[in-house]
Amino acid sequence: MRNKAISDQQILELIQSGHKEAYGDLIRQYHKKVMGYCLSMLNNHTEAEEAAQDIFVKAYQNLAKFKGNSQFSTWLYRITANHCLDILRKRNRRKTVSLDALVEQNGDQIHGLFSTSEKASSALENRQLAHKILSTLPDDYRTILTLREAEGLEYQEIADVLDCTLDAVKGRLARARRQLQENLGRFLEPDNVYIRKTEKGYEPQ
Amino acid sequence: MTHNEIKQKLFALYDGPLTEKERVLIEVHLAACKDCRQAVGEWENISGALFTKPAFSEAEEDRVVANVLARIEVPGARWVPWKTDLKWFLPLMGSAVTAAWVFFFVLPATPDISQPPLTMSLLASAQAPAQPAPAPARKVVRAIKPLPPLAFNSFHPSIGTTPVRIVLPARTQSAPPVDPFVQAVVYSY
Repeated sequence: MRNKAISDQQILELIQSGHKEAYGDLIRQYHKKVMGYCLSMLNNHTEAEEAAQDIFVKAYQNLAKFKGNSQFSTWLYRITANHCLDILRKRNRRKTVSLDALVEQNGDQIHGLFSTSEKASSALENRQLAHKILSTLPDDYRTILTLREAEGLEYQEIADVLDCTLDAVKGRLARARRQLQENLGRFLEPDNVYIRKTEKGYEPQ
Repeated sequence: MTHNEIKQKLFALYDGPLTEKERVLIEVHLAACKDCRQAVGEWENISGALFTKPAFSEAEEDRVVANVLARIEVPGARWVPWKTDLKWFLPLMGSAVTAAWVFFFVLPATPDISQPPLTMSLLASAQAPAQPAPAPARKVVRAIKPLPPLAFNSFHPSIGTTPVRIVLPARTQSAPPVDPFVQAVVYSY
């Protein structure tokens, strides 16, 4: 049953009236977002798929708690963010990679990642490297950056997902970006920076 | 707006939440300021390299849907109180079980409530004046009056006619009195 026109609220009503299979439509509607977020945070396809399944099961079991005060997507993102953070916390207890160790091992590859001329590495290698770079950040910085940059959530939506104020979102996002820029500053030489022309009107360098 | 103020709002331009006036101001500044253009360009480069959205096939989607639907339960098939709106039921049941436990197990094992509790007794004894030490036991020798002769004792001339002197064992004042039956037997001899 694939009906894109049906709204979340209608699907939820169907589920509450006993139509379990309607939940499949809801999963299809949010599969890419949940899976994409899990993959961004966990960087392991199998682990991300397992996490996505756990998240959808958890969401289903807690549907009674969803009162409709926020959008269903925001509520689902909150479950997703918390679940991924739990996995990362467990993983971080076992292993942490320092930025210096990462640069020492993958310095050339990181340089190539930000270079416009060197695109020899595959998308998978680049993604794994990107994940390694992101894993040097604190978990809350990774979470907020993924929600904003990869998922494209607005400030208010991020505030709802993380259950914090709008000012806290702005502050945390600014700090996360600053730290990432400081970490990667050595790989971003002026001639390495590509400024694209956007519809917003400012000219490239 | 100064250069620093604009630099702090650069990401707001990037993220979108700006008023039209602020957006125009920042764009005009960006056209003239190499430093700010560099900062925006750096971030766009980082974001483009690190935050890419992977594509997922429909087969993957179907697999996730099938697995999740297999794992979830049919609503109402099994009643799970803590996953429903009947959360009020659990404290109520807890209170009922506690009350039953007190009624059937705790109260029967409690000492008679007509007696003062142990703590009260201890308190009372602590407040009472000290009792004098008991006198040392001494030997009591009692002379027993001769009993009048009994008719049924006449079969032996010595019984009931000769005064008997009985020495009782030493006993303290607090000792219980001699059993009357034993005393009667002693008297009879």
